[in-house]
Amino acid sequence: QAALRILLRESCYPASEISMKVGVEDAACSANITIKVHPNTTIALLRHQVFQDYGFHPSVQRWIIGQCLCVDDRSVGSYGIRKDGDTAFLYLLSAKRAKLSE
Amino acid sequence: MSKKETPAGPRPLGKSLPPSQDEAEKRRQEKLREDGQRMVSRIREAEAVGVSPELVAAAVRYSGAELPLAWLSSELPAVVEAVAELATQRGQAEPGGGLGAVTVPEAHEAWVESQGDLDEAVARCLSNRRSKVRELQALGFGERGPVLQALYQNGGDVWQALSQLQRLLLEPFHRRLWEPEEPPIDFHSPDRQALLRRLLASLTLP
Repeated sequence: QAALRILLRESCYPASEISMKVGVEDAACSANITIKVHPNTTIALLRHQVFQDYGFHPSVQRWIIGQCLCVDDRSVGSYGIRKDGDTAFLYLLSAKRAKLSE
Repeated sequence: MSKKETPAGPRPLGKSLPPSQDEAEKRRQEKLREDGQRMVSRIREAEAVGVSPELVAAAVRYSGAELPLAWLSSELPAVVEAVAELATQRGQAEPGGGLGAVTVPEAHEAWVESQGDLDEAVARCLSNRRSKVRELQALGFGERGPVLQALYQNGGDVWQALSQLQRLLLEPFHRRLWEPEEPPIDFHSPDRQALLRRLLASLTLP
């Protein structure tokens, strides 16, 4: 038995970057932002990008697209993000819950 | 065009043209070839030092300089600054709070896109600014002051300006991140979707 992994070829995705709407939320509030991504960007890369641009540590980020809690090695496109204006949610855990220390 | 032409050889079209016209046509073609060759060699020289063909063409058109590379390094900064200043002045008259200070990178880009035409470059700076302000407005930043400031601080880069504006917007989330107590989950919250997302995110399912 072997684990099967299926990755779409890069050519299956639209070539250019899209502007994805992101609903940022935590336990108390929500806000809307827009970020630029390639549909073939992985969730891991997206976490890293958001850490660099907005300073939220990858371990507090939980990405939700459609009904899925996203996993690191899948692309945003594989969850259905295709066009400008498609929406993803970024839920921010509290540092305590993510066992993050300053 | 299968037959190879030699300059001295007889040309089939030559017969129908009077000699002087034939001569003029030959000179025109010769000049076209020479000018093209000169431009190619300038572009080749420029490419070796990382200067784009468009920048060379703009320099030649604006200044008529024989040595566009030398012109670009000695004269271009002043020209671009003049474009930025003119555009900044004219942008102040824009209704609804002006268009802010136009930066050097924006003026540079506009000047190249206008192929070295000063007036067109200024007009282009203004129309680019207008559409950037509109774009940021559409993305939720309607207040003119912070938008113009963010554009200025990021050399007119709309995405970098957006990041900066959004960082400010997300500041409160950073603060709440470190709060010792989370608000309790309200199972009677009217926003069922948000509740669902919170549960999904914080329960860390496999």
